Amino acid sequence: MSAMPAPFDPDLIITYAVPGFVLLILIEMIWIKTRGGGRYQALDSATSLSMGLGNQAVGLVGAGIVAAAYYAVHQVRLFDIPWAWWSLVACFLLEDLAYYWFHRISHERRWFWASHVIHHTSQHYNLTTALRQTWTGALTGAFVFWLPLVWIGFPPEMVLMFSAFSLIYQFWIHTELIGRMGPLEWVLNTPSHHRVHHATNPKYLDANYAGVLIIWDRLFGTFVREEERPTYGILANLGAFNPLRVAFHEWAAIARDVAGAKSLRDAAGYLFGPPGWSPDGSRKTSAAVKAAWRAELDAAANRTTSPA
Amino acid sequence: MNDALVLAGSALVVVVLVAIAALLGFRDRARLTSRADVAEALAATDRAASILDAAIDREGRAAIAMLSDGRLALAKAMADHVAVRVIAPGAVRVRIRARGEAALVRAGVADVGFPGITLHLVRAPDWLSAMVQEPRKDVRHASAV
Repeated sequence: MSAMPAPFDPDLIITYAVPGFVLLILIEMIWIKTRGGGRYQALDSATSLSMGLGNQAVGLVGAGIVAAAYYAVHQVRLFDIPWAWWSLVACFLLEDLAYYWFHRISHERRWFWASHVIHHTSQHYNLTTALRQTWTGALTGAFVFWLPLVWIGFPPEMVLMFSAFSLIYQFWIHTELIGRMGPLEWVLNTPSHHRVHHATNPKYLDANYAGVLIIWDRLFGTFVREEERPTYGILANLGAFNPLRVAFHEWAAIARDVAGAKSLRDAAGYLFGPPGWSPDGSRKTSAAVKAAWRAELDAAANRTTSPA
Repeated sequence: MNDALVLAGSALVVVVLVAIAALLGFRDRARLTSRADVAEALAATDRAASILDAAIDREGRAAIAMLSDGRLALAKAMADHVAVRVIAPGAVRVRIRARGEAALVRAGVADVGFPGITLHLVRAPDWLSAMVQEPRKDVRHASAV
């Protein structure tokens, strides 16, 4: 196949998808009202949708920062990769791999978590939860995870296009109405896999970071299958619906911790350590919660197998 | 200008969707009516914690509990869920005011994501009154009701 130009403006992809989002939310609400199978709460949805609206507003500036970084790095690219079928396939796979690592680091390092936590603050799991998005993503520099792609030589528009497709794909998986999807569960990130990702059940913590393809979790050992009913939210659920509090609560907590840090090492730990890190270990990271749960399971197993 | 129009349209859509959610009846509210309710909410945060005593808002909107290990648990109904903070007593700011025959208790922690709780109590328990850092004249009255 011959090379081809960028087929459309990547900025418009999300805009054109919004009517579809709205329609699907309405269908989900009516379905749940008439047939059950999921949960909605008007206040929770108001917060989620307000965060999405704020993300859209902040994105007018943030998208410029990201695009500027992409084009700057593209100036020193290693190769000139054209728009061709093989480059589209390669870019799709590599963009999804970049998303996996962005997403995983966003859970493992507090600097990025402070921005990403917003998406996890709902104790509900429905299509409005998908739109509960950060206002500070571009400021954290999270776009660095995609810079290797444009440095290799993929056109910035192509990378932005697949990022937009990934975001759209991830909308529909925020639902409790769809159970398991047969053989697709092996390859794709599905509602079942993503419910696990949004859950605070100890066995589900730090799992299923995939964007479109679940193969990355299977490959890097972070895949967990949905077995018990998920409880959604974060380990310390918010006591506020105010979008400003939702958007900035973790940044405020970081600022308070860093201001009270007794050494540079402690300050760095509060900024770049795992969420829940503290110098004396008095707080709980998700890894500590998971380890405590495993220890409980082991202890229970030993009790049942040891002779009376 | 185009961006402003798109944003304004999005804001309108948000209002319409939330209104539809409310009209469809998605307005469930959690209530904390007993110590068991508080214990259940607490278990989701700290399974090992056990409650010695709890003061519960008479409308069921919030509660504050003294735990057996000396820590406090603040629980707040958030729509149809409950949010909880477990914290050392020294990190909680407590104010108590007499409100007619009852006591109005405000408890806050340094957490932007958990802006504190308000409880209307028939009587503030002694352990809660003892946490007021600068006792007011009306605290004794409220506690005595």
